[in-house]
Amino acid sequence: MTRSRASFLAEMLLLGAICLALLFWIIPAQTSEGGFGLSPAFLPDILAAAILLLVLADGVSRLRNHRVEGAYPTGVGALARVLAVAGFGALVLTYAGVAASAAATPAAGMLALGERRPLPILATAALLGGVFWLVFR
Amino acid sequence: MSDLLLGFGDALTPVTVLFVFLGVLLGYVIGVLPGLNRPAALAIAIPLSYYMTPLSAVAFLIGIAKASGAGGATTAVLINVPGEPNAAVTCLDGYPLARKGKARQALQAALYGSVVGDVVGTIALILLARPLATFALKIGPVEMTALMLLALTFIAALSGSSLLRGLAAGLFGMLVATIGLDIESGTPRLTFDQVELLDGVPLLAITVGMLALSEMVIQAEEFFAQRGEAAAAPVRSDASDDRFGWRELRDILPTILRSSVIGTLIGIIPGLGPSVASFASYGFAKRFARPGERYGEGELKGVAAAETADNAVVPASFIPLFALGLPGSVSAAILIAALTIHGVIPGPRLFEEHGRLIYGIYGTMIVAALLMLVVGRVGLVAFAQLTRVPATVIIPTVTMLCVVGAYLEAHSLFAVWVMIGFAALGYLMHRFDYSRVTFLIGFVIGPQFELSLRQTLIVTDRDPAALLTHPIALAILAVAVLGALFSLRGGSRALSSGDAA
Repeated sequence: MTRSRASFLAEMLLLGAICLALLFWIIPAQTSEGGFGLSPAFLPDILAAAILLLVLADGVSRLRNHRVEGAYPTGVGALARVLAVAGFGALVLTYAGVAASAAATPAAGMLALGERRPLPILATAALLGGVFWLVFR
Repeated sequence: MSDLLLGFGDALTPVTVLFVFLGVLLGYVIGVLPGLNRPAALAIAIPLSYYMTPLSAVAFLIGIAKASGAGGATTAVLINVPGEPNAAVTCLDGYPLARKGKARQALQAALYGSVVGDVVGTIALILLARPLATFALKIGPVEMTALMLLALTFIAALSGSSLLRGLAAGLFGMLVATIGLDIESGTPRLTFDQVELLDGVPLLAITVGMLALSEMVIQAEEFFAQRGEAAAAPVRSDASDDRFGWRELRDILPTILRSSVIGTLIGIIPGLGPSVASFASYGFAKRFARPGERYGEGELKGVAAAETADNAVVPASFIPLFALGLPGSVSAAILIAALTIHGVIPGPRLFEEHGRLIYGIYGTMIVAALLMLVVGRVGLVAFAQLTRVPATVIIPTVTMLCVVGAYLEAHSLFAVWVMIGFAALGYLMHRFDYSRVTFLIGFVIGPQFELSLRQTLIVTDRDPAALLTHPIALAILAVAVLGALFSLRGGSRALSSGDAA
């Protein structure tokens, strides 16, 4: 499966819009004049403008060349699962500490990856939780 | 001279040697585990180095960087899966050798090649870094700014498939580095009223998120895609001629020495990295093959060429890091993070301000090479067993290490959420083919680039014509422009040939 021209266009427009938002909204709103010397917005403005130009040049070049590029083969399921596990680990860290997170995160991760056998899950959780408990108690 | 002796003395203390040993051991383990690569390993190891002295921390990380490359050969030879991306070349001859029952020979050729390549690269580092730093001290901010632009252009051109997207990623890294207090006026910049951002975005959170956690997402994708497929069975050594003796060593030694030089030269150039070195060295060996040598069908020299060059790159890539403060590879960029955490800023002044530490690092690199030989030789069979650790254990464990590691930097949950955010960003960059490596290097050199650029504007009074009084800077910029044009032309040529195919 290949990427469509519409997806190239969408990528270019989205990144271009982000750069424009940076240039005309975010950077001015998030920087002050500084008072002396160069403005604090000097470098961020230059970089955002340069990125905008590069993104547009790349997008136009891809559209003009009719480049055939393979579409990314998978969805975002793996991203959602791993980030959910990491987020869960962060929450456990918040409320129960490092050792609990070291035990619970791998267990959650193994379940998220489809492991259903209790022994490997419990053994991994106990081993990692135990090591971190010994180090950080 | 006293710094040299004191530094080498520090490197030989039992504690430092112990940390090098632990680093080498961990590096081997990580290198063998499929899916865990060198940058990810270094990223998750940085938090472990918080509680060490600067030398022990760097020694530990150097041990990991070196041994993970050597360990990557194990899976390449035994199950035809490169533990490291750059070990893909090793698969070409390593796996056919293993199928012939010569796995032990292939693994030993890889080990000896790795150690020799590493030693040659380290010698180049010791000989070249200091003179280069002395030269760098004589150049001003204008030249330094030009040099950083050149490095970024090279890295952008070489670390991804598109120069334009590579440069965009590098400049985006620099943009993220501007978050925090403005270096001149001290006023907050792009902090969104978050107190935690006044010191900038935590380098460790970005490194761990971009390199380690996003890599786990990619590994999880591959795991789901391959679930149900039969894995390649590990090959067992049972042939009677699977011995590596003097005859084999003598046979591959010229290839090892040649590949060491190739790897070292490639390592010095920012952006090229171990994969390019492995392919170049293998291609060179294949091109000058003698009659009867069958590359791709189980040639010992092929394994030696790839692994030697791969390992020569690591120490050589530290030359621009120590001399100029420019990370030539992602491993070097991560080392900057480790040094910065311990209050050491890489750059030309490093030899004056931390001479003893630098010579200590040199000493630990030599110790690491020797330990790599010992650990690799003794653990050859044991490491092979690690290829059986399933992804369902590796991915969740590394995810946990990412979360806990990001937290430990400042005992801040903010850093953990930043890390998770950058993992998502890193994954999207991977998915849409924007180089994560270039982003990270842009982020690392960002503050130094801004300082140099501001000084340049003061020195030149914002008059572009004043650049004419800086011929070295002009020459460097000309090389950057030529390199960019060459890359763009090469890219379009490759594209057209690809279309034709």
